[in-house]
Amino acid sequence: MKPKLSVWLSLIICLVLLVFGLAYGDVNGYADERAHVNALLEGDSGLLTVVGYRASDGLNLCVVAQRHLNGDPDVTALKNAAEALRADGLGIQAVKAGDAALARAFSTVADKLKANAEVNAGGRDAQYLALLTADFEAYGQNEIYATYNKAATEFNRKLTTPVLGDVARFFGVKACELYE
Amino acid sequence: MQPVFPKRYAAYGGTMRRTMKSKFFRSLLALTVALCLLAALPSLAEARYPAQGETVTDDANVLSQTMTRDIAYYAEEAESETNVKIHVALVSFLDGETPQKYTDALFTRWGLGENDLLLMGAAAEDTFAFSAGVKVTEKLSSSALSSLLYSSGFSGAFQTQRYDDAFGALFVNMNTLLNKQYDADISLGSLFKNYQTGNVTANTQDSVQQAAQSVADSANELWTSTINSITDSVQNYQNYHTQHEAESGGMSAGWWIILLIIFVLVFGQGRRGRYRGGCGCSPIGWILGGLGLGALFNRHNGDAERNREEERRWRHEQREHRRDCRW
Repeated sequence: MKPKLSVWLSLIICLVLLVFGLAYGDVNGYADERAHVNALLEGDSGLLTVVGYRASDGLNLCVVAQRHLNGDPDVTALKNAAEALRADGLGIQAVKAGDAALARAFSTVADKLKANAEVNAGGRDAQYLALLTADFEAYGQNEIYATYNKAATEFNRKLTTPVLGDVARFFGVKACELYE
Repeated sequence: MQPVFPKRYAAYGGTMRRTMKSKFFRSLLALTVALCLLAALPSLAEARYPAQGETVTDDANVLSQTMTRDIAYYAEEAESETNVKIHVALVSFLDGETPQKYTDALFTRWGLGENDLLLMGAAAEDTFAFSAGVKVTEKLSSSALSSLLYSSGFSGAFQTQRYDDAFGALFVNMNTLLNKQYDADISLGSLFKNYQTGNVTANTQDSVQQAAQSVADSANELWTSTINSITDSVQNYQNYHTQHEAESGGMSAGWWIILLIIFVLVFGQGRRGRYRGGCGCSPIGWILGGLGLGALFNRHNGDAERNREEERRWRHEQREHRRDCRW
């Protein structure tokens, strides 16, 4: 029994299937890689987790500060900065700006506490202050920032690759926003 | 043949079209809003919770070994007599959460159930709270437990950093309450013996020194595990990236398959000269095409499966690290 499809129709169907397979594989591959880059941002122990811990350290410092600098506007500013950073639905640039504001407020309050006679008199708050300051700085210099930016830059570069990148972008794969 | 609708339905045709159109735009709007929300980053308000230890999880490092041991022995006794499982969690800070919210979240995170009673204290914040399962609150009401925290002397001792005194007094009084409410006969024996007389001595100077020392003792290791888990997540991504880069030459294999199929289809037919009236050789092209597609899909599925497996392993490792993370 002879096939009823003409050769050109067969060829076209075959090519369409191949193109579909290629596009599917291409988009799938890009999406998968993007998910890995995104995990560095939003995943467990990702960049946002680190920023969240910095906000937590800010709030913890407020607890210590309120014992010695009760009613101080800088403590209120630190609390506001930390809480603003923990708000829902912030974009990556807003998180970056919020973290910078938090760092300034944290530094101001920490300096005030270091100069406070009660704190310097000994006791647990001097220890907590040292602990929180070291922790806040350690999170601020964490390698996750550089790793995420490098991964995102690399992914964005791949996404501009002719044909493959164009196909992925056409089907909705977006570039990763850098944290800078 | 066109279907014939009754007139009364035909009259609604325009309205129905409008309704459908409006539904379509509403759906489109909902989709757009959903996509916008997805574009926003998740909330960063995640507190650090301690991993569950034995009966006493003392991440603030404020309880003496004797007190920890006494609480553990007492919890065993209480469970065997009343079925109430007692847990104590001591942390330094609450990361901006309220004591009750933190305790409830910890109760859930630790997977505690209807017979569990969790007492949580935040040493650096001088705050505390409890969370209890349904069966516990049937016998020990929330008000009875709250009252116990304040009337036993726990609250005063805890807020002046006399942690052993706080828990000693609390458990002596809790024993009385449990015996009464569960009609049990739990004997303290030598447990909490300094507190059984009801005298909680306040040596504030010593307790402040002790609290400062405990912070100093735990300071070096307090956040180390959290930092380590982040470092590991970076390392894991780098491993993934290196492996991915090593395997990424495979895309050209896909191209080779495509080229081969096209070659077979075009030149295979050309040799037989059948351009019209059907394709005698096309089965070869179809088979190879199918194989090529299969290989292409399998390759991607294999990649995806491998990546998923790797991600599962990665997440599992991170969970393990978080379990180690003591706050």
